[in-house]
Amino acid sequence: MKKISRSKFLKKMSLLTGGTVLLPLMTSPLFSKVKNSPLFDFNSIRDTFNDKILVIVNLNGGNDGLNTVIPYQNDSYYNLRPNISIPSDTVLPITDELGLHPALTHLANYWNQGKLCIIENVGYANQNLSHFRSTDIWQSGSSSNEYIETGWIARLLEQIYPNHTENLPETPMSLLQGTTNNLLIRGELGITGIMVDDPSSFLNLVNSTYYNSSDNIIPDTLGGEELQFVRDIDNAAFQYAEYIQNIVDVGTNTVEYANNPLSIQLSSAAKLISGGMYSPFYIVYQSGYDTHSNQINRHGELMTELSSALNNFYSDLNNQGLSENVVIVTTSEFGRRPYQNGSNGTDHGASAPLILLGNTVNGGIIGSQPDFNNFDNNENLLHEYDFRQIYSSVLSQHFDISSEIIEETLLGTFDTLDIITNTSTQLGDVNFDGELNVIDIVIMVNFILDVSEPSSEEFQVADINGDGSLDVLDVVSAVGIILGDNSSQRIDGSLETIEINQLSKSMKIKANDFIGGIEVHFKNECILKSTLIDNNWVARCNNNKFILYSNDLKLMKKDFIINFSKFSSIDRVIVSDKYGNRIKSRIYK
Amino acid sequence: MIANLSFMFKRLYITCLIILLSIVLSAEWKQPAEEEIYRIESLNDYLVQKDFNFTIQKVDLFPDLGYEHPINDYIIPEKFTITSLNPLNREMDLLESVHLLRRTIFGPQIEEINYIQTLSTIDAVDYILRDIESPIAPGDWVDHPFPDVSEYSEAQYDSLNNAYVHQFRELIYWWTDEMYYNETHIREQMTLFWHDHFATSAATIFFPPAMYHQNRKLRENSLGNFKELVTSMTFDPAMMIWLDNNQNFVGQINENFARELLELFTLGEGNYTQVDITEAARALTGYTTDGLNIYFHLDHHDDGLKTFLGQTGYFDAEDIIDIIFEQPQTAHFISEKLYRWFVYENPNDEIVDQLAQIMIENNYEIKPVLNVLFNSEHFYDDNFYGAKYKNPVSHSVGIMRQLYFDTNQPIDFPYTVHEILLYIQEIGGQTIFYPPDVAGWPGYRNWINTFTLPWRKVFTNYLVDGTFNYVPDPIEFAERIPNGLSDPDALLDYLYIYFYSIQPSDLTKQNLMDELLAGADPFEWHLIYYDGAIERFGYVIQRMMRLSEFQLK
Repeated sequence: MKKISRSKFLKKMSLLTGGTVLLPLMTSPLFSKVKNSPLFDFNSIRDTFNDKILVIVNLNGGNDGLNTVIPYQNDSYYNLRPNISIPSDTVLPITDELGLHPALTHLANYWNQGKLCIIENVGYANQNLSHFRSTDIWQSGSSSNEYIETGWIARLLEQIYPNHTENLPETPMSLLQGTTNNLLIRGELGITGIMVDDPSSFLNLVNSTYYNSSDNIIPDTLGGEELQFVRDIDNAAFQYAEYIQNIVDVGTNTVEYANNPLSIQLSSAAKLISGGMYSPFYIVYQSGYDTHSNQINRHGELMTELSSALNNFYSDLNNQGLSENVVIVTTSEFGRRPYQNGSNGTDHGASAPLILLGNTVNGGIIGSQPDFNNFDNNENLLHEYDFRQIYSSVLSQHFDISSEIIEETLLGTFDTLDIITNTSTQLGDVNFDGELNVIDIVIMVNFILDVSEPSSEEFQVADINGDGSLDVLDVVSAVGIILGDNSSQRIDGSLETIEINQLSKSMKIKANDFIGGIEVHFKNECILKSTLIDNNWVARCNNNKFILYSNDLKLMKKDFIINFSKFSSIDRVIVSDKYGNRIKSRIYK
Repeated sequence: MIANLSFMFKRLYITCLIILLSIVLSAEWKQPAEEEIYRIESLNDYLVQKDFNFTIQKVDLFPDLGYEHPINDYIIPEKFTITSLNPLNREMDLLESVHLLRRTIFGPQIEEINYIQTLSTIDAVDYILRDIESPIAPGDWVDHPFPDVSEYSEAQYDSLNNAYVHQFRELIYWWTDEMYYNETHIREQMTLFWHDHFATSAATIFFPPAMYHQNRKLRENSLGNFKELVTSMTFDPAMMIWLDNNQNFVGQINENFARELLELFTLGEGNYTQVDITEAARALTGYTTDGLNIYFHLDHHDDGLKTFLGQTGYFDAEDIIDIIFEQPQTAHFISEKLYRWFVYENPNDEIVDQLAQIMIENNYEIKPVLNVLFNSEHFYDDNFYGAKYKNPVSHSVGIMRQLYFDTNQPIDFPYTVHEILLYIQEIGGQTIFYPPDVAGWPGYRNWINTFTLPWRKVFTNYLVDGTFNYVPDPIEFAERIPNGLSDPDALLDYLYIYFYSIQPSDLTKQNLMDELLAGADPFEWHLIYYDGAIERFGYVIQRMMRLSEFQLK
């Protein structure tokens, strides 16, 4: 047990009180004081966390990852679990190797929309198989052999708000919905958040029961310190109750949530977000994952609940235009054994997949399918990624937290994974300067012509149509966005107007009113000699790639002629209409 | 034809045999076929197949808010007391008497306090630890074995489930009553301590007789011998099912019970190795249970050579327990737990050492240890007044005792007092017979958060404001206090000590007095005759129960 000096403790454990402020009976205490305090800037929570919200859904008990993200083509999976594996014809496939549990229908939809990111084999070295201990490890963000008594979220918040016990933030820094463990928000100085079960009745509950001492005299004893703790909780409840009530009055749910604990918690969270309460962290949970027996039924029910609850929550926020800034992540203290046990269930295991959902999430799978040939010392699945890598990635990519703060928070550095692309960065804004303009076009063209190499973030942003490749279609889309013409109509019919004359080393494009750009890949190098094109059209060539695009998407006034001094046979051609759609072309020689 | 007949008879005979056997033995070795519905042929099958979330139906009194509650390890203040285990050697004053009672009894009543005050410290402690009779069982059902359900219809099966639900409620109400009607004895406090220590949950052991008998054994041995208690629990059907020792056979070792035996019940982490766990598990092999009885099967017992905690031999279960109790650490471990339960969360190492010594010298008898502790000046150290939190059971049953609100009081309300108590305890995060896991309830500051604290106060409000259409008679109550009816100072001064281990500040007391008098002259005030006094007294009591001080003992 950690022992600190008494005076240090008294200072540190002064939770949410004004210290020596006198509290008159039944009146609202510190609010007005805090509001006028010059030390506190009310915008800073939103600014610091970029207006982003992370919703952590803890799956209590140890979720069986193998039956959640299923290696449905892998014989080992079926051999090790003859009675409790999911039949491959019921799995919802998302890749050739992996599929989702059949009950996760909504998550499969999100997968198709590119909003679901699955990280396989998340865990940590020297897996601890005890619920309590492994939960502590995940929540304190520690290694298996360390005993850290603070939570990673609390450590983050306390760096940013070192005065939070004296200067109460206007809004709770995080909100726990009746979880089984608040280690996540327990810091050195105090608790960095509140626990509320039903926000809409919280005010009544607190108002009808608040009665605290007329002053804050505390005896100089161990009992006194516990008294201070109780008083502080009393005050915290009181101070936030009215605030939360105001939020709840304004907030709303636009979908009907199911009647199970997870859905109810998420409906509360959505209502609070909708009402304007900003906390960067909302923490909810779903219990029952400790499926030592009868796993098929029990786990199946949980998957059904999880899928519909997340769907309700996401749709609710989406309907209200609030989904852009929210990312949902699931966590669990461990996965389960690859082998089934004698009770049609599984015992405690090690690593498991982790799922993220949101608009800014990079859809896809990170990691390989579970490896049944290399187990750890307990014959459990080895981890590929340390769970702290996910924390680190979310902190830097979602919240844009500096790496120094992240290192302090996680007590070390952990390689990030490409989980989230912040689209407060606009698509097409390749230089991330907040604007989409011709400079971005030029950079994009450079990428296409191999003049420069995009980073993965730049690639993501440049690939406007999200088809996985950078080409003239993206350029034309970008131009369209700049010009404010975002309609995405299609033009039917083919363009039969490109003529290539090998002898004269020229390319001719007949005037038409639907072309927006052309990209040509030659087999060998080409060099431009001269062009006869409209103003506001750009022709560029580099190595074996040539691009021609319009800066104003207007009708071609004449036939275009491109002359090359060096020319070779054509490998492929991409033709874009005025809206960034690909259209067929025929090349005449 | 004849061949068919004899074949049929043979089949019948074999079927009967199987049914008979499966009643006695665990059905663990039968793997059900994939397509087959899991057939229930024994208690074990029944429990395994049961939905583990089948808890007692929540009473829909208040909006449904009963979720799980935080568990964690707080940064606990450092101890800095200098008192020793030397006996107090003098009479206890009023505050000290109440302190002793508050720590050993749920909600000491006025008469109990008065009585203890008449005794010397030594006699008072002896009184609280005296031998008393065991309570009668809640019903005959405690000895009903698990029936043969192989031929049960849906309806019969449902009826069995419902019967068990009903019996569990009876069990909870029965124990609550034992706490309420307790006569100044530590026994129910100790039973709760042991229940938390050997935490077994009815959510899994959905067979009330087993949970009843475990509770009975904990109560009967609560002030007895710790080694006997551990032995009793090792061979307890509920515990055996809970920690899978009924599925621990040679060649198919299940370490669950062995691990928790060492980690949580006797030695504590760090005082044994993983190998010790495995070896102990081997020694513990061969047992099954039908929920009421334990059976030993020699052919499923690993009778090989084992090395456990440095000793080698052909150990069986009893040998393992013997070896465990040869380790001084065992005394240390349980003495520390007793200290943390009765004194303060942060154990004082020197004191715990001495307590452990006493336990070893007394062959693991529990009473001598408690006797020394409750007589010591350390126990009455100023530091510890108000240093323990009332857990939900202690808070709710305690206030009912203190207000003389009988748990069997008929009330004109959709729910009985028992049902209300159960609901409040659930919200608070402590339902007896349903600990969250084998480590018991985490306790300490975990009981108090922005959710549970307001709910505690809602409950105490309702006891006195008429919500339940019944209020304990305030006049009868005040009459028990010397000059309580006529002297407002005497009344409130007594109540401050009655309710609080840490006295409220002068300003708070002044405000409460102002509330009580509402402008009356204290010499004119009288609870019965002064207009509105009773009503205001009700408000004052409610306020007193809502002060933070009230959550501590």
